[in-house]
Amino acid sequence: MPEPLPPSLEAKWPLGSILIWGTFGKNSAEGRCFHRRCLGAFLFLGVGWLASFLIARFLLPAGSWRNFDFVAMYYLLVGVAFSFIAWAFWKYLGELDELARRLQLEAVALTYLTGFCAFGFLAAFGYLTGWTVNPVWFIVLEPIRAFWLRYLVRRY
Amino acid sequence: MKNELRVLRARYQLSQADLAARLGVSRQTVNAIETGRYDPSLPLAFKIAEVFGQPIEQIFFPNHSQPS
Repeated sequence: MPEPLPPSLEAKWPLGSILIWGTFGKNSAEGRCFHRRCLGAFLFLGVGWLASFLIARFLLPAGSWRNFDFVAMYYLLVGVAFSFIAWAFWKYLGELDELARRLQLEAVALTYLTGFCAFGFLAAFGYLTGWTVNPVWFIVLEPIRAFWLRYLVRRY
Repeated sequence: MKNELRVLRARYQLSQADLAARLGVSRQTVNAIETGRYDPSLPLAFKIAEVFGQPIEQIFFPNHSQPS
């Protein structure tokens, strides 16, 4: 068993940020940029949803707003926002140093494999029970990625 | 791989954060290399060698051998 390291040699990873956001914190320029972009995407989502509601409610001809499909609009905005976050994450990966990038990519790979297994079982469960998985549940993969990242940084 | 990074860093009176800033990596990366938990890429190893003005083989060496 390896000897415990003295406190001066501990890596001190930002565990809070890893578990909550799945990033290495906002102390670096790339971290700040990624967090800012994610915040922008969520603001877009909130404002977009509110705007679509208000436009449908007050600008569409009377009575027709009730036929406006908010759920479809909401999901469409989710798609746009998360496409932007995916792009921002790609840029973030490109800016990280080699160890941080390796850890993030390993976490993404393990999350993919976890999702692969989980959705396989869910398909069987859904077939047996008639329950259909809403694709928006992919968001659950994000805390799973954070968990894997937390697990992986323990090695360093 | 083993390495002499900790010794060299002490000799040059550099903190992990100082060295990380010079190398353009995070302090955690320097820590991981220093403690032998992570082997750097060749470009980063060359950069480390450049910072300390020594050939790579005097800083990094296989587990079974000693620094030359």
